[in-house]
Amino acid sequence: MELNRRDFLKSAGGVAGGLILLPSLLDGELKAFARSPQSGRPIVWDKVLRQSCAVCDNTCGMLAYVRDGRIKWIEGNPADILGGEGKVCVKGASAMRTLYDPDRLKSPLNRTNPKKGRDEDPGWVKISWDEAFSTIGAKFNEAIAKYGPESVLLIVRPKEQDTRLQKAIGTPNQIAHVDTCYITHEVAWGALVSGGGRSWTLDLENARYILSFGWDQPGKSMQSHLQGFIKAKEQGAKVVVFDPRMSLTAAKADEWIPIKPGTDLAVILAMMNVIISEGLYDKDYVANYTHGFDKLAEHIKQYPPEWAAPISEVPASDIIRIAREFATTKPAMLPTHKRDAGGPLYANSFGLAQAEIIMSALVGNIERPGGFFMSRKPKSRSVDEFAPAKYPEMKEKRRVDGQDLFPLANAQRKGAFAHLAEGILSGKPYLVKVGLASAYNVLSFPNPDTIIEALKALDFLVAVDLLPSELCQLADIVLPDVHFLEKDGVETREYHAMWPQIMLREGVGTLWEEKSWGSIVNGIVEAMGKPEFKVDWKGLEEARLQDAGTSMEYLKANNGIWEDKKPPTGWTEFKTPSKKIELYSTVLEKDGYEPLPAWHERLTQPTTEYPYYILTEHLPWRRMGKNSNDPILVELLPENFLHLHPDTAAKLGVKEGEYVIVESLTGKSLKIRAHITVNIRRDCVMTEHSFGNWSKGLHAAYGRGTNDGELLPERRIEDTLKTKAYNPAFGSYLLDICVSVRKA
Amino acid sequence: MGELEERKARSREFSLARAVIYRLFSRCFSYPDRELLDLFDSARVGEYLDSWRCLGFNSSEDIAKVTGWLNEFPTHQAALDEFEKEYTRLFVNAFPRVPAPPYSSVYLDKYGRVWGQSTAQAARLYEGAGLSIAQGFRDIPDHISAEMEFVSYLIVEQQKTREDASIPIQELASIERRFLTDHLLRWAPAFFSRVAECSRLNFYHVTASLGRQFIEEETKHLGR
Repeated sequence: MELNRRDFLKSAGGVAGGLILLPSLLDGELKAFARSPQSGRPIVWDKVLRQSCAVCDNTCGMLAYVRDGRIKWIEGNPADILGGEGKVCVKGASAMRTLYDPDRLKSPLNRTNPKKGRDEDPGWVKISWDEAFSTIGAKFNEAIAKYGPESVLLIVRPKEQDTRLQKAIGTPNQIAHVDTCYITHEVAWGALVSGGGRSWTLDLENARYILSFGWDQPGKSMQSHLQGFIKAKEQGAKVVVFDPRMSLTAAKADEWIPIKPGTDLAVILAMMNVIISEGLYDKDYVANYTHGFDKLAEHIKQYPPEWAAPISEVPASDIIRIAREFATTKPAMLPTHKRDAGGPLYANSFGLAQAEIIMSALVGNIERPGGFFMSRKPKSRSVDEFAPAKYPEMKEKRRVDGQDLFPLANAQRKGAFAHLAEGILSGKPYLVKVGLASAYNVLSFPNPDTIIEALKALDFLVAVDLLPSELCQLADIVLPDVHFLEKDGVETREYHAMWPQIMLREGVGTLWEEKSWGSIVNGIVEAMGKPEFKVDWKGLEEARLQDAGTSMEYLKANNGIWEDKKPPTGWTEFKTPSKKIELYSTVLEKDGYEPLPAWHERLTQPTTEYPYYILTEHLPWRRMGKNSNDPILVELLPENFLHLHPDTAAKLGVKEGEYVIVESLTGKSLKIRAHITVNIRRDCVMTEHSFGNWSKGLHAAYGRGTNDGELLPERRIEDTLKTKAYNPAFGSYLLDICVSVRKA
Repeated sequence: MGELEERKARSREFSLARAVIYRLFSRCFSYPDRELLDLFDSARVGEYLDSWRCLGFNSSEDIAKVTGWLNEFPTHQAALDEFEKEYTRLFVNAFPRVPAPPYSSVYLDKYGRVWGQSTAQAARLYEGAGLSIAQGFRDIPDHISAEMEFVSYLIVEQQKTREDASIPIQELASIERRFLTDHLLRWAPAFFSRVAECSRLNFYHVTASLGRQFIEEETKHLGR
């Protein structure tokens, strides 16, 4: 249509009777704007928001300074004396750069390219939440109707929203990463001390002797451990670290003992031998609060220091001296956390986790000052009490990852990453057809290629995340999660909860169309035609504040923190069949496991083909996918290195900064730069974890360094069953592998 | 019409033509919908072709190209599917990465994050003009479509009669000048260049090229 000039003038703003005539394009309502400040989305211009950090689980109290509408600065909330004591680590202080990452997932996305793989463009198209939910609901229901609820796989954390979804669906397959992280500690604590759950509260501050087997939390800058460690050091505590390489904690220790990897159990058994044979244990504590001392004393006779010395390459005289120091300096602490030597790194790690608890009990420091405490939590109703619902009966008890074959591990209901690929790809014990993964990435799995193949084999996969991870790239529907700095709400302290504490979350509001995980779960169950499983998560938070005897108003008026501040009274009864700490575990015995920690070698030893032990390091400024795309943190160490001893480097003819090729029996080879250092044993090599992103969606992280997980094999049930007697935790013995290194 | 009136009318015509083009770009760089396709229906292009012409552009060939290309799709839905896919890839989330994030701070601020200093600068000027971000606009204030819509709003408001103006016209004119010179014109060229370079869809290539030319003219015009 051609307008003549006069018509245009008329339509383009002639003035008639004082009213302006606008071209139709200008005539409609504004799309981006509201015409009054009151009716629009509020912007927080200048304010201090109280937050609880969610980068790691230490949930440090935070103050987020908003200037000009954005979080510009983050520091610790001094009122949080349990978590960060007014401090945050570099991960917390940088959290806003992930919040404001232009690569963040912004709205639900639908895949248009049916082909999946590392180099396949998913061809995403933005869709509405309604469309996303109804597709997910339909696909899940279809799989349930054809193959049963067990055909739905949930790769999620064992938090209450996740469990609600799992129970509403009726699938046994809720799978988290704990078999590569802390399952050994958890199962050992459950069996010997707590009946379930473990100590996340370490009274390091009051310890006068700290003995670490690979524990390196100060080096991970975990504030509750770090601050306690610093105070203990200031008050003169002696620190001894056993670690094949000099960790940051070892660097601050009085003694670093470069133990042979996977032999910590031998050393601790020998130390117990010394403590018991010399009568150095806490006789009152042992008599009153432990069970099975005589059996332990008899059992431990077979492990004298002279036996452990050649195995561990730690001189017997050092074992004896340190055992004596540990038993006679009070309080003495043997801190453990995740993925230290007692984490599921080696086939014998459960024995170590078990022995660490027994050592602690021998010196009387469980539920005593200067030792371990179970976290003190406020009175709080469960989801099921708040929103009762009749869950479908879970008929299929077998799990796709085979965890049901290990009943004590299965009781934790946390699943096993290392065995998942085999279960999906073999179709045994049954077919898994659809899946949902929340805040997990394929790079967190050993040998990512096999899990990629497994996830590709699913008919339908949903990914929920903050950033377009490698797993998102394989998904059919991607859903954007909210960043914690966007969220309002409360957080109850789990770690270092010396007393009950609840912290306020004040968010800046969502930047795009993200939804919280709780709302996503509600959306999915509703779309599945099961609205009775929806939970008013906000209402639950309010109700729990009431249970604890506080309120949102209180939190707002009191620095964002409520606490029932009283030092913990130590337990005198424990949650085991004997009501005591079971040095000889009747729980393990009942399920057919070894009731006392016995020596077993790790599965793999150096061979001519693979002559080196591999170690990995988690950097204090990186936290998996949660911040690997932060440009400033990437600058701190743009790529990872392979750490080698100078003698090893000389033997291989490798100089500092040169590339080497590392290979393992996974068949993968990594090309990585060498860093030569005396801070590692000659028979070990080490690399930093959380590198090697291949999702080009993460543009700061993409192509930086290599992923150590490529060298670590996934596990097969058949092999793991051979470790069953001494691996009741179904740990993945992640680093029980050797590698070869050659000049590139 | 006297000479003064003639001049006033011409100035108004020019201003409204600018407003139309800003609004057109705002629509082109919003998430695509039927309304956007309708804008390129041959029956409707006249509405803004004259605005282009009034500003001294001969864009009818480019627009005709878009219209002709759109007509090749068997259905509107087929066209829309392509638009949505390409919009998502260019501006929302993509593999290998979003080639042209549509936010000022990515281009103007150190480290290229969203919600930067420049976002605040834009949002403050919106507030100064009596606007806030609509509840239904689930995006960041410095999104290109919001910024383009804002300029067109400022221009139209200045053309309204003084009696209904809650904010003095001089104030609006000053906001417009500041917004353009200190903000939009500083990043829009880089943004349009990236889109023109990276688009796999003729539509975004053409509109971004036009956008770049238009912004160049605006820069010259403001310099005068």
